[in-house]
Formats: sequence, structure tokens, C-alpha cells
Amino acid sequence: MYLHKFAALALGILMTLTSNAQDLIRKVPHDAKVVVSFNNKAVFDHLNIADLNLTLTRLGLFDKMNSDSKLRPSKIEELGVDLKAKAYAYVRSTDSVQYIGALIPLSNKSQFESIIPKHKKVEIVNSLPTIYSADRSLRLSWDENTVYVLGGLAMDYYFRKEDVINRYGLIANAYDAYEAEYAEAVVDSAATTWDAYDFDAAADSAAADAARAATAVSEEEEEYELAAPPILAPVDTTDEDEYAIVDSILAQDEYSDDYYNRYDSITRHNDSIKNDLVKQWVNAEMELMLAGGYKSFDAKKLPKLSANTIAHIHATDVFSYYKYLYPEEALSELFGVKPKFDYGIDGIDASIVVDGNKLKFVGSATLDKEMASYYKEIYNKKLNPKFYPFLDKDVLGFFSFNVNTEAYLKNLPKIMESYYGSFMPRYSNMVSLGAMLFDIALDQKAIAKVIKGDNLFVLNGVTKVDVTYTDYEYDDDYNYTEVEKTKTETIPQFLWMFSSDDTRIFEKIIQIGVQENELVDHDGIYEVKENKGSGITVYLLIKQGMVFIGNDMAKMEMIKSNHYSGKGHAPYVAMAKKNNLSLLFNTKRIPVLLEELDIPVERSIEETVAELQQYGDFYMTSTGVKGNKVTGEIAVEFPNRNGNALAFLFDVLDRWSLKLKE
Amino acid sequence: MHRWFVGLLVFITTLSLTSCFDVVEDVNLKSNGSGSIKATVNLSKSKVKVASLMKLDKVDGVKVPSKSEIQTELNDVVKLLRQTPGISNVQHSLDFNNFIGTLSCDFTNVGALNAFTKTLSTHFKAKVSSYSSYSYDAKTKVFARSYTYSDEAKKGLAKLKPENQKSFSDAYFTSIYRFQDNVLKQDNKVGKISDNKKAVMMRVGVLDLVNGNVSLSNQISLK
Repeated sequence: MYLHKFAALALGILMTLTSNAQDLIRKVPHDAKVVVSFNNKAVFDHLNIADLNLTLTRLGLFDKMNSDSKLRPSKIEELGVDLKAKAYAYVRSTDSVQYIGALIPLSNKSQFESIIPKHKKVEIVNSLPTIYSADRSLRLSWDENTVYVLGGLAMDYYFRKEDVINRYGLIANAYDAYEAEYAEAVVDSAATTWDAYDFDAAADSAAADAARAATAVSEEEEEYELAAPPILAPVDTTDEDEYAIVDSILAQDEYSDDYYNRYDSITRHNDSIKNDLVKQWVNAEMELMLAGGYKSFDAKKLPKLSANTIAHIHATDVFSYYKYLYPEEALSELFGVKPKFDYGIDGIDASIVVDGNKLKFVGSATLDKEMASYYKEIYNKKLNPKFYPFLDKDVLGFFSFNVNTEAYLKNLPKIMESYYGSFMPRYSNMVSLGAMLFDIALDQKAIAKVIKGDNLFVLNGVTKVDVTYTDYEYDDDYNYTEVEKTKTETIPQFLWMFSSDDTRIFEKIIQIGVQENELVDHDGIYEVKENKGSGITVYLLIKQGMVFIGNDMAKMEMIKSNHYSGKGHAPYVAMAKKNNLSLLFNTKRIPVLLEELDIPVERSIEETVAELQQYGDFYMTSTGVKGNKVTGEIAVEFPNRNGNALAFLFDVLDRWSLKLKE
Repeated sequence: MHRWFVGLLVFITTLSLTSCFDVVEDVNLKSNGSGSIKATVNLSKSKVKVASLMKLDKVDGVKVPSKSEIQTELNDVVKLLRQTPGISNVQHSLDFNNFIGTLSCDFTNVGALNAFTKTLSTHFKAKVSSYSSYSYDAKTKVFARSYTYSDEAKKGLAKLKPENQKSFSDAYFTSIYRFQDNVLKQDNKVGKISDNKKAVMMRVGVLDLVNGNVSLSNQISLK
């Protein structure tokens, strides 16, 4: 069962992935908010088709198809979809419905038709063979070259508007609608059936409560969503089983699932109208699309996909989408504010790229002019080159984040005012005032001197520290005394550094710390007194406009005496130099680290942990703002044993399918 | 009392991070069968790991209790102990800097301790697959501790690689029984009688205990 579900899912993905969409982008409506392009050629160029077929066969994909297929495909090439062209998926939103469409190129219509399950009724709609999902909200039509997929999702808020309710004959509120009937039913039940049971006191009290509830409901209908069920007065249950009483009450007709049945039938009534509408809209939308009723999506908005880019997502006017999901009126009702969803982001683009054995997610957000200018200033900061030697090739990981403190402090109030003030119009003046005070109160230049904005946090391997612990010593009569002993413990070693042109404030803090006995002066290296028993002692050092905070005294001493001899690993240095934000994790060092830290590894994950040794780095970078775009990249370097990252992932799937088979 | 330790052992073993610890059970028994008991759990040898562990919410799917949760649990135990007939002078301490916890009380007879163990098992809904109890016969002057092995902890330990299991070699369970009368004999193979003949100590490695290589059962005859 599970295997079949997986096979169906895999087929769905493959069908979406595989298609000849030479010009299919033209069929995507011009106002689609999200367009996903699948570069099938790139996918299949990176995979060995024979291996892939073997895996899919093992997963039962073709068996499932063969069971009721005429042509009995046994290879992915025989599904009729074009494996060399692009396929597209898109989202188009209106206030009433959200369309999700896909355009899949075909290479062989007959082959494709052969995989349509026999039990599916093929209808001719708009002169095209068509199949529908069971609820007919998803339509799939095809011609010689293309499969057109379109589904619709009703926008909930739209169907709660009064005029829409009236127009389509919906029932306003399932709870409201039931109230009157239910209240009556409760009165009746209390007056009749309850008396038949032999605990009069409870029944009378319950009846009175029910009647009160009913009256309240009829009088204040708009205030009550639902008449409360009668409240049971305390019943003397000393001689009876409480549960039996409750069960007997629940067994009465009026306590049946009537309310829920009724509620359910109202919901079904509304849903059936909505589904009907969605079905009609989906048909109309596809007809319009097929007839070329929409202007084509501007292909220039999409980048040219390289031979290594397997998929790309383009989202535009991102926040306008929220207009439909959370219309202003809805939020206004809820929160009393009408926010404008505008955070200065015009669009988002992201690609999945196979770069050898690296799988990369490369993304960018297009900022509006104002936001771009703010962020350009903020990200105008580079890492202090004096920090490069600390990016040793054996580091476990590092995080470098550089912002221009002065620009940040200067622009933050503006960003707050422009983008966040709008979310709280009622408080926009307050936000402006706050922003102004912030601007006046802070001397950005002075602060920027103290903390320049470049940061480097390096997680080195491990370091050995002496830790005290309590043990017991026994005399000959087994009386014991507590003794303090020392042991050497291995802990991860970190070093955080940032630049400062004006270190006076830190020096002052240190002075106070030493006075207050919170810091211990080791000839210019300050130890933060550790009293939490964690064994991790933190040291502080200020040297030549740089502040170092770390937990390895020996390293601090080397830095202080200019004897630190580390050498920056060229790729790491390049990464830190080029990017405003870079985070790197040296995955292959994890197994060694676990061993060094004496962290036991469960057998069940032993293989996975051991495999990490073959992985390369995991990293995340952002170059800050270029033009009007802020760009970023996330990459995972997989073991180099299958030729490329995609092949490696399929190999993982293959091995998993083997295990499944076993 | 012992259930508490077994629970703790299972917890520690499952977390498989805190390989060094000491559990000490110190019973002082008078001739009339009354006495006092003190239990100590000392994780200070692993305090760096425990401190890191406490910062996490879950490890390998096992929830790591917070300081306040541990405190609440201990308070519950103390409350139950105080409500147990025959138990008095209940004292406890928790040191989160060194990760040492103690619990002590006086008892009128060892049966009160057994009653408490049962209450505790019920309270924590612990599976009573392992059961520990004490008995003392003032006439025959025989103190006995019965112990049934549970493989719960062993199953947890078996999930670890052998080299990781070795890290538990520095974890010990120590039982000390002190008496007013001299000890004539004791029958646990790892038990030792003190020089003054007034005490019996069993110090066993947690690995041996978990693997069922040693037993905590003992029958001690007094003069």
C-alpha cells in the first residue's frame, strides 16, 4: 500500500518533471504569481536512466501501471512524456479561487494515454480528452504535445462575504443556522424525555438550565454561536456508577450526534456549492487558457536555465498574495487595523543547481528601490582581514556576519517607519516618534566606532579543560567523606571576534568586572568567573582594535603575544571575504568530534554518522545587496561517489528501495 | 527507593550521554529495626555533558527534563515520602551546579521503605519489572535486601556501540548498610564487611548491574 502511494507520488513528480515545454511558458497566464520551471533535460542528464528505471521498477511504479495498462510501460521513457524539455507549474490567484496549474510536454500521446488508469472516465471537454479528480476540482486534459493540469482551491474568506453567500445560496454560519432548531430541541427534550429517567432532581435542574440557555439563545442570537448543552446539576452518585449515568444520558436521542449531523450537513451543503463553483471555474479557466484568452507570461522574467539548473521558482508581487489569503477587511475585523502588506520585497527567485557533488539552492529577493538603498548601505561592510588567519582548514564551522553599524542604526528607524508602521496604522505616529527618538538619542557614528559590525565566530575542534567534581572517599569502616577531584574534560572550542575602533567602553567594563570580582585578570586576558558548573570558562582579550572572546586560554595567550600561527584556508577566506553573511559547517568532522567528545552513538545511526565523513561542507552565504537584489546560497556537498549530487540522492533512494524490498 | 534509581539509570542510559555518575545508598539500621536512609545521585563527574544536555529539549527523541521539572518531580517524591506512615525527617537537596541530588529520611521499620517504593512505582506508573525490598527480623537479627534484575536498562545500553558502552565503566552504584550490632556474615559476592564489623558495603559498576552480572541481593546476619 505504502509502496503504491510512493509510486503514485513518484509518478506525479516525474510527470511534472518530464515534459517538452518548448513554448509552454506561453500558456502560463501573464499574471501568474508563482511560476516553477522544471528543467527535465538537466535532471535526466545527471541521472543514469537505466539505474533510475531499475529503482522505479523496484519501487513498483511500473507494476502498478501495468496492472491496467494496454501498452505496459516498463521504462520511464515509455510514459510518453518528453524528458528533454521544460515543464512548468504555476499559481494564479483571484479573490475567489486559487488556481494551481501545470504544463507537461508530451513526446508520445498514445504512450501517455496508456498510463491513464482504465477506471478513469475519459471525457472530451473543449475538444480535448480529459479526466477529472473524484471531486472534479482537478482537471487534466491533453493534446498531441502537452498535458494541461489545472486545479482550484476555493478562497475561504471570499465565501464568507454576505453578498457572495446570498448570490450562491450558501448558509451563512453553520452554528447560527442550527441554534434556533437546537434550542427548541433542547426545551422539548428537557420537558419530556428527561422525566422518564429516574433522577428527577438532576433532570429538573438540567431542564431549567436548558430552558434558560434556549431563551438566551433566541433573545441574543447574534451573541451566541451555539446553545450550550444542558448543564447537569450535581447528582448524588454515591450508590451509582458515575460513568453509567453519563452513558445513559448520552444514550438518549436528543444527546445523539444530531447536532453534529446537522452541522455536517450544512457544511456539506456549502462545500458542494463551493465545489461546483470551483469545478466550473476550473473548466472556464482552462478553456480560456487553451483558447489563448490570457496574455502570455513574460518569459524574460525567468532566467535562462543552465544545464545544471534542475528547477527554478519565480514568485512575484509576493505580498499581494496575502491580500487574498488575509484580506484587509478580515484583518481589520480581527485586529482593527488594515495593514498594507509591503515589506519592500518585489519578488523572489530561487534555483536548485547541481554543481558536481554539490547541491545548491541559489536564491534572490528583489527589493524595491527604497529598501534596496537601505540594505545596500547596511551591508556595506567587510570582515576585518586580520581575522582571516583564524579560518583554519580544520575548523569545525564558522559564522561571519558583517553589517555597517552606522548605516544599520541610521536606517533601522526608516525601515521601521516605512514597512512596519504600515502594519499598525493606528500606531504609525508612535512608530515615527520612536524612530525619531532613536535617531536623535543614538550617536550612530560613536556606536559604530565601538562595534564596527564585522563578526566572526569560529567553532574550532575541541579543547581540554580541567573540571572539578565531587567524589567520595571511604575509610575502613565505610564512613565516607566528600572530596573534590579534578578531571580533564574535552569541550568544543570557540572563538568570537569583532572589530572596534574605540575599545574604551570594553576596557571600562573590564575594569568594573575586575573590581567587582567577576573577572580575573591574567595579565591582560580576562577570565569570566564561571560558577555554573558547566566547566566552560570564557576569556576576553582586547588587542589592536579587535575584541576576542573564547574559551581556550592557550589560544588567547598566543593571540596576545602575537604567536598565533594559524593560516586561513583559502576557500574559507574567500567565502568570508566575498560574503556579508557566511555560515559553514565542516560536516566530515562530525564523526571525529563525536568521538573526541566521547558522545556515544547509537547503533541505529552509526552508519549515517560514519557516512558524514564522506560529506563536504555545508554552507549558507549571502553577498548582501547587488543592484536591487539581495542574494543568498545554501549548499550541501554530498559524498563524491556517484558522479553528482542528484545521482547521489537517487542512489540513497535506490538503497532505501532495496531495504524496503528486503 | 531502588525504583527511583532504576528509573534514573534507564533515563541516563537511554540518553547515553552521561557516562560517569555515582549512586550511593546509605542505610543506617538500629537493632530495633528503625533507622535512616540517604540516597545520593552524583552526576558531577559528567557535569559538563549534563549542563550541555540540559540546554536541549530532546535528545534522540527522549525529552530532557528541565531544572524546574526535576525539582517538581523531586518535590512530588518528597511529598509522597512525607505522607508514608513510619517515615519522618525527610530532607532533600538539589545542586544544579554540580548536579548532585540527595534524599534522606528516618524510618520506624524497613517495611515503611517498601511501602514508599510501591507508592513511588504507582505514582510514576513505573513498570514493576524490577523490584527491590528490604526486610529485617529483630528476633533472628537478619537484614535482607532482595533485588530482581530488570533488563530495561540493558536494552537501552545494547543500542550503543561496544566502545561507547565502555564509557559507562566509570559509573558506580554503592550500597552501604550500617548496623549497631556486629555483622556475622553477608552473602553477596561483591559485599565487604568493614573493619569494625558494623557495616557492609557493595560497590558495583553500573555496567555490571545493567548487564545482570551482579546482584544487589544480600542477606546480612547480625550478632
